[in-house]
Amino acid sequence: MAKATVVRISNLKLIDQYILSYARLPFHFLETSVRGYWNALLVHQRGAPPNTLMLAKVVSREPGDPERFLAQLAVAMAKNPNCKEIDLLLVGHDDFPVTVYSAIARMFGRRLNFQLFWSAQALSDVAKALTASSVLISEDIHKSSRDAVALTSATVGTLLPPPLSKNIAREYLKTINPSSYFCAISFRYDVPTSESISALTQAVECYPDWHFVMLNDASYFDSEELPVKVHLPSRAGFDVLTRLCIAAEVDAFIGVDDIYGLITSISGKPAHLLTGVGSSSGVSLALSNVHCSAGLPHNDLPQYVNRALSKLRQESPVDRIFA
Amino acid sequence: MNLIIAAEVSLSRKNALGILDFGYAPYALGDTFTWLTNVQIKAHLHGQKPIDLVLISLPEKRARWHQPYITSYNQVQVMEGLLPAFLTCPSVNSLRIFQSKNKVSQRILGAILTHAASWPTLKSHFKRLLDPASHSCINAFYAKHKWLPRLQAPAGFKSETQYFRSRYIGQRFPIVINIRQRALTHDPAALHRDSSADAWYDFLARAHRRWSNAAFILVGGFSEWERRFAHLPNVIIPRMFGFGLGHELTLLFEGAPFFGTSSGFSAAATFSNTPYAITKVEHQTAANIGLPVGSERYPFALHHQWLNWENETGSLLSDLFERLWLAADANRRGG
Repeated sequence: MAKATVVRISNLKLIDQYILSYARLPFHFLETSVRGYWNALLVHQRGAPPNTLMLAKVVSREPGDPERFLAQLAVAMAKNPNCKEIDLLLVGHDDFPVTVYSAIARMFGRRLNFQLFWSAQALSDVAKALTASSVLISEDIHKSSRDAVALTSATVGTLLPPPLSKNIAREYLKTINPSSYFCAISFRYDVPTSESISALTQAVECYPDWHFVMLNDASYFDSEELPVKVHLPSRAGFDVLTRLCIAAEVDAFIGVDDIYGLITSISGKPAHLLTGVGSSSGVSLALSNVHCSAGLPHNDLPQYVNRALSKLRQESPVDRIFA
Repeated sequence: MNLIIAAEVSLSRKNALGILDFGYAPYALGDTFTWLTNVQIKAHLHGQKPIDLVLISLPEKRARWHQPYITSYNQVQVMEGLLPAFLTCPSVNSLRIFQSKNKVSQRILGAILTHAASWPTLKSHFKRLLDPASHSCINAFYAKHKWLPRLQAPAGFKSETQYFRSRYIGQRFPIVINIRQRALTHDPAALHRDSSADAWYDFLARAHRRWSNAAFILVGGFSEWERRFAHLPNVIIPRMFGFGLGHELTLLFEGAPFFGTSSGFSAAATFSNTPYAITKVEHQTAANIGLPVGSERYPFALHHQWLNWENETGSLLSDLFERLWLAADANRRGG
């Protein structure tokens, strides 16, 4: 039986190789040539590819670089809500994963043409074939990567997460407790573990309706040390893309303004962000659902978390859940 | 000819092109490494040109016929999951993943106009013909040149992998292991290639006493291991700590010996300088890789790289690992 199946499959392969493939050859050759020429013609005439947002970026190890990229993309999407494609041109870094940037770009739900280069010159060479209007040169790219960026209310609602990751994120929270509320937490890496655990323990005790998820890798924690209602999705095998979707799915966020905090913020959920601390991204936020603090009041993390949760209770759209 | 096409032509003259169209090529880790090696060979044969990698992953198009479960619903996750593997190729000028048919057509038009060196050839690409797992060009290249371009650790993951080493491995010697367990996943394909979890568990439990300073780094999909493996004191699972494919490949390509089933990770080891013992090599693949069943090595293998074609048992794995451990030890000492 198995032998007969193998023979049948190899016969089909031979037919495909010697007959069908020759039928495909002229069709695909013609299709590629016509489509390629048509695209080049459109770019030549209009200066840029139609319905496309083009973003060039030099990946950097500087703190806050992914956050600035996320904010730049959100602002650009808010300005071009009808764009159908994103042409992302990245100059990679030897010691920082580009997968983070790719995952961020996927959160906007457009067709993504992800283009990675290992030098700004290589990017410039390719950019000449992508746009006729303004050829990007290396100095411009470096400069624009460091520009300050502000998130306004126009960016709320620009996210369109990929369906599978979005569903996994929602189901993850449901498997913890389908009727509970979830607050994402991101602490600075240099906060002493004892202080973080103290803040989380106090939060769990004072707000029994809530579960807390730590979305950054939180590798400094031993999960056994954490209170029972604090969860680490990174320990459940979730990649950055799925964790970004969890950030979009949670009910609130408290912590530093990392990529997860910004995603919750532009999802329109209440967020309390620490923006002025050492590792801050430098992204400024003017969103009605976001409270920003320049620094940790009295250098007391437990008190800060407690006050943020208390404010969420008083002011936020999730007010009803504390009733 | 407009300026845009002129720019594409200029690019095509300078660079060799690797085309991977997921309309007819599989989304598969192992085939990715074989493809990258073939692209490197092509570039070398054309004057060591820098490489442009072009991947075509169109959301509206279903994946190859034997991957019907990959659709527009999950295609993004599959592609994101594979991305670090494409970063393992040296001499790459650019990696471009297109979801737009018109834009990628423009790039390929440039290659047509210059008769650019490409893998697969442009003719094969238009015929939608690619045998992704075939070693025929690789073996022929090695036979003629007596060396093979190897892959390297993916760029961008070095610091985080170093952190993983210092926090979880410490002074122990890391051994990268991969146990094919597709039956545990949502896409249970080619289950006859799966390894025996019992045999591996038996081996690892015994290995704790026999090779007490070995840390077995269990790599691969989060769903591809039974929970009992996480309880073994000599087994570390990077994906339990927020690490992923990029970190796992970095460990492997940085020289942590590989021990595991013939599958995606074994293909990474195959085209690396890392010591390895690949288990349960599928007999059906013998023709594809140009070897008789039972061959102990690939033609291009280094002295510390072996194949085994038998079904795994605890004692067979111990024997295979003993040889690998000694070879890796000699390698570490510069022997």
